Amino acid sequence: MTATTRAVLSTSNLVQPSRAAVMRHARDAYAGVPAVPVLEARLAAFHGAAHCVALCNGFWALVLAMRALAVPGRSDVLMPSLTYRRMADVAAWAGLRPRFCEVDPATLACSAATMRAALAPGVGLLLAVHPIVNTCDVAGLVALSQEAGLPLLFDSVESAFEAVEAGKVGSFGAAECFSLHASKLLNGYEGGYVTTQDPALAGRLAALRDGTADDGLDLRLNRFHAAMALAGLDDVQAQVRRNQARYALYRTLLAGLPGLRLVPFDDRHACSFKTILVELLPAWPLSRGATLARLNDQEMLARAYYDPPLHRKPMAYPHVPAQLPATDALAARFMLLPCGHHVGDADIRAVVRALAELAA
Amino acid sequence: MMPAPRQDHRPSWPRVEAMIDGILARRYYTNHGPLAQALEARLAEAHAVPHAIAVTNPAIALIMAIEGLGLRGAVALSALAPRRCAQAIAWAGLAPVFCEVDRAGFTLTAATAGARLTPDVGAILAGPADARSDLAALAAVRGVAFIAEGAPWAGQGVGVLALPGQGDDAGAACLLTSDDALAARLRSIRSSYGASNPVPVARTANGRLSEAQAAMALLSLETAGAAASHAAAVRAAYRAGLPGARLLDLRSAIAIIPDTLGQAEALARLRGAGWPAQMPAPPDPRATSCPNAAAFSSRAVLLPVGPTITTAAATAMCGALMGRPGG
Repeated sequence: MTATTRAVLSTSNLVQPSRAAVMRHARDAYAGVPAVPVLEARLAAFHGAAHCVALCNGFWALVLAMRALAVPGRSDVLMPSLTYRRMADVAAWAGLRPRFCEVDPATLACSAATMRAALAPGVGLLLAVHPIVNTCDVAGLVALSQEAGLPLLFDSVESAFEAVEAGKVGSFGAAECFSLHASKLLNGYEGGYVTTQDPALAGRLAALRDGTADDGLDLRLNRFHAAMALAGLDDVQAQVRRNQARYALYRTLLAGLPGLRLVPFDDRHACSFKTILVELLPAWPLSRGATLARLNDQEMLARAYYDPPLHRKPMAYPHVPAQLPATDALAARFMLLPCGHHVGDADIRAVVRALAELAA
Repeated sequence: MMPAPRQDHRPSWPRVEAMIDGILARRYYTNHGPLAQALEARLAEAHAVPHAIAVTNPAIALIMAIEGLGLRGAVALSALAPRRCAQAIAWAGLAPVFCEVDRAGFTLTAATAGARLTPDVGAILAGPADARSDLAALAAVRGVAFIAEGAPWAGQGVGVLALPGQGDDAGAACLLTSDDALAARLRSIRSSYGASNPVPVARTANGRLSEAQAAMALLSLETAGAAASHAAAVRAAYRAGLPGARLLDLRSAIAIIPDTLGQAEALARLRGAGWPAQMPAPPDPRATSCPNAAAFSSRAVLLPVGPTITTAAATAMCGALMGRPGG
């Protein structure tokens, strides 16, 4: 890892593959090599999925997947509230009402139990979201999907490298959605994709994406974005090793800092070690807001973890109001620390030193 | 006779490579970066509008325009409008109202649109070949919004313009408007990143343009003049080669109505000589009671205009249509 200027200390991954790889794939795309289908084939293999459909970004990948999967005649998509700040907007574009459920405090993710508790007759789709660190209970949620007779879509944007007991993320449920935004594991500038084992669904998604279906919309992935993502795929194993080294250093340094708990990666299966998430314990002397403000003042762009949760935000479209005390409590306690490609050892030491000074 | 080699008006690879190097050096890949900002400034200046909002593709740009205008109900558009327009209208939660086209020019006019402006219509959408100024005036008189799709527009309402340089697929776009409040809403709908003055919107739509897209658009604007000159020369070659024929300028083609020859025979002659002539797409099946639009689709032949067609090729196609040997 190389230390860099402090101005770029953020929580965005901003991974940068080698210049040679970036230029090789970009030049191929410039010359007319069909980068998008090449990327789709490589991503399908990467995730152990039969099919991959690439789109212009992750937001619209989610919209299209929701639209394609929701049971006709049902109005609601069931999703956790502690998640991506625009997920309710995604549901609205898909023509569905967001209905929110709690998360399991142990994983920060929805589970079969939290989703089952919020099931209602109008639900036509289960949207399970992997948390930023580790995964949700894939097996339990697949079982719930079968038990309830409802399609299961995974938002796997933050878990592109992860695996669970049964295999790689990307191969489960009816479909899984990913992002190629610069802040994610694979930097395609922008972009998104959906993986599925279902050939009919893949065909339907492609027809929607290409605008060849009557109810479709041209949402194709730009070839230069696909080229950048291909360079990222070439580098992904090396990236994870770099991420693991950053995580290990944070773990070592934070161990001596009472009041903060590093959320550990479960490395029994593959994980990306991409994001550094800490919980502020009662012993921490400052509020999270004050802590973030002090770090940000030093150009360390730490940020709150999914706060406010979705059910607390005003929505101008149909939704199901919810009371979610566990989510409310969790949304107040976690924060993301600077990480990513441009964060070096010296940067990590500076961040932890700044935290230690706050705790002193 | 096969198409001549491509007229390559694309930016050179070394220019593209330099742009990518700049992006890597800045580590700024998306989220309204410096190239996207430069592109917006360039487009606003070029089209003499206060606001150009760069968007990742034309479909999302049109959806954003509808959302930003706060439209409800329906949008009136030509029965010959590209399919993507009706699709975007439907995704925005509105209904397309397909209007008949003028019998002479096969374009949407104030008269043909005015006949279909039911009370639920909240906007008129005009394409580049339509009578845009008249339609904008009609929209103003009727108190509905105006959207100009597919070509630069500096008038009332909002323009949706596809940007060059993205290859043959997944093109970028921009929204053009003189309305400060609308521009602020559009920037906030696109994404909160880059919305220097964020305003409340009902829902966001993630239409961010990447730095790579902005780079290609900026580079292509440098060669846009040459590309436009080439297209104009090709169109002139068609007109010179088909004196007296009924020709209509479309966005990426020129349409001929081969009244004497007939559509099938014209296509047979062109394709027999190895040229890539096509029939127009049929009107949307929902476009009922639009006999002029149906007539255009069943009678016209589209002659290509673009980088793969030289003036010599255009002249040769004219010869094929006229039944000249070697055409």
